[in-house]
Amino acid sequence: MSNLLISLFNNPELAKKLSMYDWSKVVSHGRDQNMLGRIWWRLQSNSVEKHVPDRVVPHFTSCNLFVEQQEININRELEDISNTLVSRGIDTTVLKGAAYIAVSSSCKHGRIFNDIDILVDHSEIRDAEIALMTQGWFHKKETDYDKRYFREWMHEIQPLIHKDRLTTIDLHHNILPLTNKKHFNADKLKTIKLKQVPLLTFDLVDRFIHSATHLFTEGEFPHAIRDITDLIILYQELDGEAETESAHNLILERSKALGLDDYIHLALLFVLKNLDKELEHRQVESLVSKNAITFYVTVPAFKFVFTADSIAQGNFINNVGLFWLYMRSHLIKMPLHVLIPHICRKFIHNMKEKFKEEPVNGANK
Amino acid sequence: MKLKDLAKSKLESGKTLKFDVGPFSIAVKSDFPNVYEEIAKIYSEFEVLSDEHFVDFEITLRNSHSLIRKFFRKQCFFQLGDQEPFTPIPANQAFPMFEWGLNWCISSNAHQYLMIHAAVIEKNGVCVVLPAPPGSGKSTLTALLVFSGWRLLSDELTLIETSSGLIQPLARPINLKNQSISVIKQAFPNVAHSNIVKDTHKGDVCLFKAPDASVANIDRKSKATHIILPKFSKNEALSTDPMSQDSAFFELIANSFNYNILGLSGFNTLTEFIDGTSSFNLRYGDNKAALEWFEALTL
Repeated sequence: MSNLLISLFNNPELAKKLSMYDWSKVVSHGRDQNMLGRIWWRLQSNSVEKHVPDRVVPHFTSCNLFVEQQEININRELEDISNTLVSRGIDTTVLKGAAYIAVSSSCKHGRIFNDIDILVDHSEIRDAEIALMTQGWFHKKETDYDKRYFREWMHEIQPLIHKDRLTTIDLHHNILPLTNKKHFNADKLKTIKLKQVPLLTFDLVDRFIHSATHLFTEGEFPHAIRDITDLIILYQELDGEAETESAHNLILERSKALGLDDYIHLALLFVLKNLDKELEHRQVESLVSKNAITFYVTVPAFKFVFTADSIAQGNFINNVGLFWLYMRSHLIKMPLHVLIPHICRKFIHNMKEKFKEEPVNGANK
Repeated sequence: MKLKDLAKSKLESGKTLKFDVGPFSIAVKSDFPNVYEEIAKIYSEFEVLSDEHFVDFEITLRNSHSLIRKFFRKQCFFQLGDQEPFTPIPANQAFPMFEWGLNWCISSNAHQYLMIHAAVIEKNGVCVVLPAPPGSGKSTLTALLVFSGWRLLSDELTLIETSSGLIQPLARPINLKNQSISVIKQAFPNVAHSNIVKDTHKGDVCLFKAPDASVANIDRKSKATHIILPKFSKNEALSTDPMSQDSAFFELIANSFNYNILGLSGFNTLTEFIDGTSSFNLRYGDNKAALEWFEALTL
């Protein structure tokens, strides 16, 4: 199992030692994991980018061109969203990728994403949806089942896609699915005002909490290395800003207050490990080790996910771990009496899709 | 070493084939033996790379993971690394799938170039860019010209170096569809081509091998001199209509893959690229007349 991406992120000096074969792997896995731009940023900020062979450089710079254009587009979309929603008196919080751009967090470097995530109060979800529709954002298709799934059980509604620009908005009304037993009302999270548009975003601590909660309740990890490095960067930003207390204490306190220890302890465990903060790591490890399943099954499975360049190349044990994380994410998301009928339904639906006539063209999914 | 010199044992299913395609190095691994056969035939003049060589795109063409679909209505999945950008297609279309997939790999990643959906040919320093929507006869015209002595730079993807404004050749096979296949086969019976794959989403397709001389000159970049929008319509006499530079400019943007990503550098590259070129709309109904018209450009 190779772990070039996370090693290169943590230790950019490694760039001096890589062979051309290694660089092929960095490019291939970096592209899959959405890490090319971010690694380039790390190499540049450590002044080792000149050690990257000429043949390899265009892959990084091409990715950066894309990211720069994305930033321009996202800022324009945020202005549009704010004109649409805030003018109707709907308080709107920008989340994740778009928020990192809006507050100029280092997480924006090399981060390619597809959706603009925004959060409004549950009572205003319908107003927000209609307002966005008047400006050209529509649902692609929504069956009655989807409607129920998203509105009654989940924390967001079906994506809204702009008819001309094809930008996608994920409209959230909460942080965790309503069926999650740790579900809490999103207004408990602390927001700050953005400077350039009258929108909100979470403060530094809650930005970490939100990102960590999502990652450690997931069951599939298409770009795990990008996601864990998001958390590492957010942690460092908090650590740089926190004056009196260390970042890890602030996060632990906040996590306890919100009842999210199950997820946040795991997040801290991996972030602190990557940052070589031994003392704090041991403290969190003792908290995590209280639960045997977490310690002996969940942690090793995540360990594989957050180090491997490609989780598609795991061994048998790794795959059992991945299956556990997948099951775990569903068990977290829904109680069994909701989950089992849902899975049966999805299974039948997928089987039908699989044996449908060949698609007319091989276009994008 | 060239692909044609490769031992048969290196062309078996599951083996990784590494070779250069112009400025890109690719690795291909396939579960379908005919992909190796076709590559060995159609890319025979391209350079094989050693195992340690850097690779831009790691491509896999694989069978379905489903046990049933391995045998019943076999499918081909295209992968770049771990990504699967396309829905699977029937397994007999694996080689065209490789071609379409490689186009996608380049056009969605290689932003060191301004990329235009156009063919490019060159003769005696006259370098013609042919942007045109599908159905305009662009590929057929390109095939006619390159098998009559023009150099092929590209059939689908025009790569304009943003640093120099020059066109980087690819010299990949020419993708012909439906009736064009028999037209070119009859006109040039000695040109190597792939098996005809029937009933794809683009109809019947067949890939014609680029002339050896074009592949040998794959590193020779060119400056465009003409931008010509061809339109084949049956029985119509040949006519041309000069195009203003700004019309040509917008025509190229409309056919561009990444103008929107390059921002200012895309604008600068394209204005410089257009500067000094002559542009025409070309309507023709007779291939011979079209060939003569192109020939006259080089005199």
